[in-house]
Amino acid sequence: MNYTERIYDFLDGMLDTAEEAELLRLAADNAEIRDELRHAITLQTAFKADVRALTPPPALTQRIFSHVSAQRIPSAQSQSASVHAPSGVTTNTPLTAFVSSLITAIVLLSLNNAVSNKAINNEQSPNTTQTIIAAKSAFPLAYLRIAPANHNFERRNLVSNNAVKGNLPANNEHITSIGAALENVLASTDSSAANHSDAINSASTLAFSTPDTTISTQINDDFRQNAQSEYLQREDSPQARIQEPFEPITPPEKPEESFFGRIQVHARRIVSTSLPSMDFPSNPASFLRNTAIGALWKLSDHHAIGIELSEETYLQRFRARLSEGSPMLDIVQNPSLLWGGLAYRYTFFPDKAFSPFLHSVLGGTELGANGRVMLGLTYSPDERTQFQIGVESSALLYFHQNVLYASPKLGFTYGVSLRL
Amino acid sequence: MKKHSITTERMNTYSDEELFGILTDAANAEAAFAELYRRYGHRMYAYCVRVLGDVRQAEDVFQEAMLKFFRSGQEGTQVQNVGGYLMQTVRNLCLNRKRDTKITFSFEDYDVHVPSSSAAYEAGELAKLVASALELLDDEYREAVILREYDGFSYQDIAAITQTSEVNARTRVFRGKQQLRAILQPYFKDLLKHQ
Repeated sequence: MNYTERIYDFLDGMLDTAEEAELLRLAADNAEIRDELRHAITLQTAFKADVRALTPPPALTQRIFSHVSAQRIPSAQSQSASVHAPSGVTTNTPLTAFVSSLITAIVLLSLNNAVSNKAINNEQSPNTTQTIIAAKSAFPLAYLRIAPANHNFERRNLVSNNAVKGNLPANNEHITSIGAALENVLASTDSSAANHSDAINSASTLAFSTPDTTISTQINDDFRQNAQSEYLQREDSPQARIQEPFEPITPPEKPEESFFGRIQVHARRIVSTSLPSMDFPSNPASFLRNTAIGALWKLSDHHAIGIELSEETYLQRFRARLSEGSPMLDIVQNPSLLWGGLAYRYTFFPDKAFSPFLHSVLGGTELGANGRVMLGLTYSPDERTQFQIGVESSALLYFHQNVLYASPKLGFTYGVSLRL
Repeated sequence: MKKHSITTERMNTYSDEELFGILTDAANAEAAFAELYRRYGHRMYAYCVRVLGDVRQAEDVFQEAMLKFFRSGQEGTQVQNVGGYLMQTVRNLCLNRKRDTKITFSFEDYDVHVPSSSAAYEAGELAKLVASALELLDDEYREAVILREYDGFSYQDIAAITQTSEVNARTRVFRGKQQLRAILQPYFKDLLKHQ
């Protein structure tokens, strides 16, 4: 694992204490790693900010809940008309329920801001919870507007009972504190080993032992404000540039997959037998005997074309006269023939680790045309490597004395591919 | 027999799977759905917007997915991992939408980063820049990064959702971030030089 991967793992909280300390020590000594860390933290911060900005609009939420209300199964309609009032009294008349809910909702909405401000940093008032219960039956939207105020409190609950499979909430806190810890380490100007060690220890204590995110958040905020004000004072800052003739930033270009990045080279072993099977001697062959090598160029996720080359024996049985007027002979030979051709491959599920594929080659040998079809399965442990196994059928077509003959073969094949 | 309403306070204490089970109970279905919506709505919506790259389409798909999810719950579908199931529902609908709609990409449709005079390079602006850069990634990398960073799924969950291996999921997230970094390199350099 290179240090870039380790940095991402560090920010995800996936390194153990020793590995974290080692990474921070490296960062303290190496400017490149420090930059990498800062870039990664900036990226994480941007992700978090973007996630916060993406909230379902209230109108959309309202629309969904009105559909949900309409979709409740019919037997539930009469039951759902009962609304729990704050005191626990159940009212069954629709009009009473509506008025009760309306009044409660007005109270609720007036409490909304107060609750939001009060509960934003944690605890919720039991009274507020009761109010929410009363209002949500008739006004789910109002309930949802209150709910975010208790977000922090409930997120912790969710994490503790594993209700949320991901670890985003934990990451948020972790990253915040790591950010503070990191800046402390990076801020240590004395590069002696002892001071580094002290800085790392104190940073680790702050980041990994203290769950109090208020402290680290404050440190981060201070750091950001200082950095921002310093940045804005620069001559070439956006603040300064805005005074100059407006120069829009050129959109970044999409990185394209390189030509060579689309090429996959492969080698595969062919174990096949002629049909009908016959043990017959053959001429000496090259190292390519029963080993196919080739290269495929990815046209799209599913389609690839390329070339393939190998050497195989093809059992030939045909009738011929050696000379004019001589008797007709049954001739059997088993020559080893070099073959090559154009290959096409269709991969059924390119995104999956295991995927069936169809591979075909059309080409020729010195004696005649050669074609093959393979149906197999690939296994991709990573983005570059691919193992394959499959069954293959091929045939040699040739003319002799104006008669067309075919030599079929059947077998299996296995091999490996590497993406450049 | 009349069923009793469950208080919201208790809804908060239920696991996802318990809440999903409550969707079959008409008296409490809406409250249970509201709780699930509160837990996952935000993340699923963010996924739709960033994967589809179009807010209007994202809203359509998000609404369709949430209602489909609600109906599944009412029909008593057995689900082991509610978050994963909802994610799969949202993802399938997003993929269908992407397949059916040829999305034309124009930078004019996006709020591409232009530093304002009042608060240059604030987190919000950087977020917009990252969102625009995300659009430039290959689909598989973009989705992996979104599932990891926006939805907070583990690599194991990402592998299950995208039907690939855990190693592949991890590689995609890593490469996606690397590509993002490459795209944003000039801005990062400018931003971080003076921090």
